[in-house]
Amino acid sequence: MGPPRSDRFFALAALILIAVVWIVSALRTQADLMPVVGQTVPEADHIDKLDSDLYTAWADAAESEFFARIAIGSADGYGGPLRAAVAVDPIGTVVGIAIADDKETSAWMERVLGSDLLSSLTGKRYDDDFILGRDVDGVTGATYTAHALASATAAGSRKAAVAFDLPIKEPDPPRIVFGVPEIVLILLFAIGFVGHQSRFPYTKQARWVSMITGLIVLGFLYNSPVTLAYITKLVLGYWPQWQTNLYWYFLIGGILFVFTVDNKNPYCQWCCPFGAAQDCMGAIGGAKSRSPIRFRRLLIWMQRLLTLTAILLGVWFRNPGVASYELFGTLFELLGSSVQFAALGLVLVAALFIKRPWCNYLCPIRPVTDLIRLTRQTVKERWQKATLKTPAV
Amino acid sequence: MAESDTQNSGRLTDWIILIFVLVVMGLLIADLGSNLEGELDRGNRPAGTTSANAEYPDSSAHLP
Repeated sequence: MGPPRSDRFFALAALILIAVVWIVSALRTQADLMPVVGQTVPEADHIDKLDSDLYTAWADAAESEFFARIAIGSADGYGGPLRAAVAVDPIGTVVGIAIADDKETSAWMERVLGSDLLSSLTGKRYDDDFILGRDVDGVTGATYTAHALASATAAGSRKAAVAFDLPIKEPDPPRIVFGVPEIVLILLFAIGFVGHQSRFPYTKQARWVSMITGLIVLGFLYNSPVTLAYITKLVLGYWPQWQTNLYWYFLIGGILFVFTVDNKNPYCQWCCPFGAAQDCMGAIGGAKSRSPIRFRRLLIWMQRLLTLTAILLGVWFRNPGVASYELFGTLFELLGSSVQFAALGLVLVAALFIKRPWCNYLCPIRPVTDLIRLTRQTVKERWQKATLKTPAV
Repeated sequence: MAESDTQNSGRLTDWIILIFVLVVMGLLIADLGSNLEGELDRGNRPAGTTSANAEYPDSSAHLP
């Protein structure tokens, strides 16, 4: 039996709604950058726009002397691209920087703005390396955001230097980051694949090994479970640089691939660290699967509505991190507000008696996997109908 | 009698789960709300706090 018609209708409506919000928010955020560009060289006489990413600042009204070229540089931040307006003088020195757009968590960005990083970036030459802690000041506790700002400044300064016909040395290609989290993730997917086979006799043991490894490595060591921010990033088209983000590609690509081929979820039951934490609590308290028959549909739809709202907010603000409401960081890094700690406490206590309360009633990943499953099934049915209708030649 | 006890206990569990979900969801939404406040504040950062200039460290002082 297929899913109810209402599920298909609401899934389609949700996809259309996300698409509409995507388009409207894209139009809304095409802001005029001139005020930001002006902040980089307030002493210039006036500024001309050459193209969408390049500006010329003049020292005088007659335009006889260049003051600076200003280019918009971009780099991957934690939540998406970070763009900075970078002013470079005719000899290639950075004379001013202003952040044009960012998707970073406010607390981290404020930490960066409160540090000496911005001022240490000014005075650098376009052909410097802009390496944190060596060429420019690092920022403790906001490394990703600080790195994005330094890289965006480097990119902008090189773009501006090209406009001055300064000699440009091609930057070294980014180093491929392939370490412990990537290796462990591949191993966990492999264990899940083998463990799923009906003839495999040690499914239960394999699942526990996979879970505990996921809890320790993907949870406590690297805090990198699948979050709604990953999904929103995908929806927004913020595809990070593959060389430095292989983990993201393996995780999202692996889940989508296994779902498409096998219709099985390789992640939630096998390597999700937060799921494993609940399973451990359940093993201590003797938790049971409890399905509240009276409110089953209500709870499913509440979970879906919360997830849809969070995705729509992330898309509207074009910031994947803003609506990610999971408690993963609260558990694995002990970072979060008192409200988040209260919610985490309730979830962990409930997990003593109910199997995986977070996954079953609150986690945003479940509605997303439901949607993938529904889409797969619908496409498959349509395909089968179409091939049956095709007359044999 | 035993059947009615089981039914009552099942009903109670249903209600406990519903209340648990509503409370946790309420907390998560409250936290989401404070995130959104931070997001709205992002657009209101005063000029000069997001920029640096070699000649004028406090560039906001030179903006009209």
